[in-house]
Amino acid sequence: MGNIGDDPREIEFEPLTQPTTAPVPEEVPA
Amino acid sequence: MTGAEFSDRPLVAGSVIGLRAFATLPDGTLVSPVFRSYQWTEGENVASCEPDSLAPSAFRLAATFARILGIAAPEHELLALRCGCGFYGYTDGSNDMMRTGFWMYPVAGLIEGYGRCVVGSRGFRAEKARLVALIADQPGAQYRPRLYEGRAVLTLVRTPNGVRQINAFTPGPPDWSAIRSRYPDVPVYPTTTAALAAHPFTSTEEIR
Repeated sequence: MGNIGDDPREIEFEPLTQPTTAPVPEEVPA
Repeated sequence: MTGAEFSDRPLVAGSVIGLRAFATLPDGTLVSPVFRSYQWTEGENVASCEPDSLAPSAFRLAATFARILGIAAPEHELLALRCGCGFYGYTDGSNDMMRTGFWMYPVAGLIEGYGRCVVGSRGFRAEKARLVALIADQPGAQYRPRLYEGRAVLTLVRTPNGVRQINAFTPGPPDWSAIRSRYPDVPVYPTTTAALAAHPFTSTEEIR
């Protein structure tokens, strides 16, 4: 554990993008 | 649906990127330097309270004293202001567990936090997190304590089927081959500067 600093506030984040480290899906031939 | 079912937390589109430290197990698995029962995975990591962790917990101590004194235990809601749980990341260039030397051979990395979060002036703790990058240099090595030198460390780990077991091992320098094998999709950068150039900190001051 650590100290995240002063004036902590509760915020909920909704990611805009896909997971940064998600595996790249294989391309499927049409 | 009642109003009580709505969260009063502000909802922000996006996520927060911060710097943090990891301890490593001999097989390359990254764990928290403090709560070593949690093993980081690629993809989404979800925080939970760890009442059976071997690590000290201010909340558990407070709950124990409350029980002894016969008073109400402190309220504990995951990722609330009074809770200490969650995945920690720092956005001001600091990295507490590297600096304090809680673990002999810490590894630094960047994580992306999201979901329910508590954001302060130095960083955040998050309900959910993904590994964004690992950093191969060891700026915290000079801080490593002698506490663990040559001694076995006990960790309580939870296997995929939910069984808890105690592992004992002697900490050593991180095995980067094992780490890369364990997290093949997480890029490893030579320095913190290089990692931050590719994945800049989130400005928590702007968010707050």
